[in-house]
Amino acid sequence: MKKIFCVLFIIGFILTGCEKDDICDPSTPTTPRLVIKLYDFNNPSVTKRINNLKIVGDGINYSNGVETNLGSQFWTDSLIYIPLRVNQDVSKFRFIRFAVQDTLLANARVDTLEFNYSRRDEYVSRACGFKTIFDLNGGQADPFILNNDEDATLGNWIRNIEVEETNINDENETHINIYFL
Amino acid sequence: MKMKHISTYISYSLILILFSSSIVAQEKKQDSAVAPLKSERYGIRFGVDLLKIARTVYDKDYKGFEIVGDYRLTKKYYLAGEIGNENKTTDEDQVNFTTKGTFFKVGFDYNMHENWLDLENMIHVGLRYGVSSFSQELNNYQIYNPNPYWGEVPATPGGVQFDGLSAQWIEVVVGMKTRVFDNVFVGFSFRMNRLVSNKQPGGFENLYIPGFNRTYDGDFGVGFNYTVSYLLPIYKKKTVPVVEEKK
Repeated sequence: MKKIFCVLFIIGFILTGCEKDDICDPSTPTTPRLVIKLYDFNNPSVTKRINNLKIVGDGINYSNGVETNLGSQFWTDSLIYIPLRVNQDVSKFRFIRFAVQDTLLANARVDTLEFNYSRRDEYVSRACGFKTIFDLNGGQADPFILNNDEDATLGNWIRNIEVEETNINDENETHINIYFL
Repeated sequence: MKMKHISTYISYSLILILFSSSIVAQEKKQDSAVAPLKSERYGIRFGVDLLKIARTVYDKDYKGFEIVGDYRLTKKYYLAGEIGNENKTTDEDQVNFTTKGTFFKVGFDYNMHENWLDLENMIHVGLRYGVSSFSQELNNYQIYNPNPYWGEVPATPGGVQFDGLSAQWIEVVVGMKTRVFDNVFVGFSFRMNRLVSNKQPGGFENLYIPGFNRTYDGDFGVGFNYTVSYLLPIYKKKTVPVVEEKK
């Protein structure tokens, strides 16, 4: 009888103690970022890597740019991940090409991109709570506005932009295509 | 307190074993003597779970009660059940929600313990089938954002209520009861629960179910109660003590 109680006590402690569902597993898909794929303007079917692109949120200090998965503020890639605001339907960024550490130099080329969308919060799990998913078609204005001009697709370094996928449910697909030289 | 009960109880039993064996030995010598007949009481026992009452008093986010009962069917088997109601607000890192509902459990207990003389203690194992009808209200939640570039966002008010939810499950019960005086019993039991059906709210999850408690990994749960109960005797049955024949 004592043995049975010992076993029960141990099982009880295991069940209450481990609680592995209390920590949100980083591999669980939660709030996604906007995925931008960069293409060569002269050869639009070929992706092109950009060098030292800095992305800074509107109203945020220049030294506090959007970070890559490795923690760098300088994007050298053909894929860019943009964190959208989860409590507003608009997120605005400066995309700075030829960026240099900490200072905005005269030869840097800046394009401002504003993203408009609608949001929905979806339940994930006990540990992760909810995630926000976005719809670029559901916003109050156009899905993207380049340099405050609703009709523009040509910017200072951006040659063309198009929406690839309006539903931002995860980071596995591209949502916006940008063409540049 | 409980452990002390158990140990004194065990030592009493040991003393009784010693005495009774000498009595049996004496009886063997004088064949004419009649062995004392043991009479066992049968009846309905009902009580309350003290833990739920205590928690109602000290935890402002919890209101609940549980009435327990059993009816002795045979020497070893008892028809047993619990009925109760809970109103609990669970505050976790990511979600805050209120669960309200009623539960009912029915099954049996099997007394594994052989009592000496007129003791009426139980060490029991049993099974229950539980059903619960409840509602969940999502009070507020956090948006999990692995990239909080725009800063952390305060909790979002939920304000959604999900009615008409239900769940059914099986419980394995292990516990004990001891008579403290007259017809009053004190006991406790551990329960391990496994959901067999669960009507989830759309857009949320049953993270707590009245009577089942917190859900682990989706469909496991544990429970514990500490009961005080009163036996209402209905009839008595005489049983002849079994004396082992020695060859």
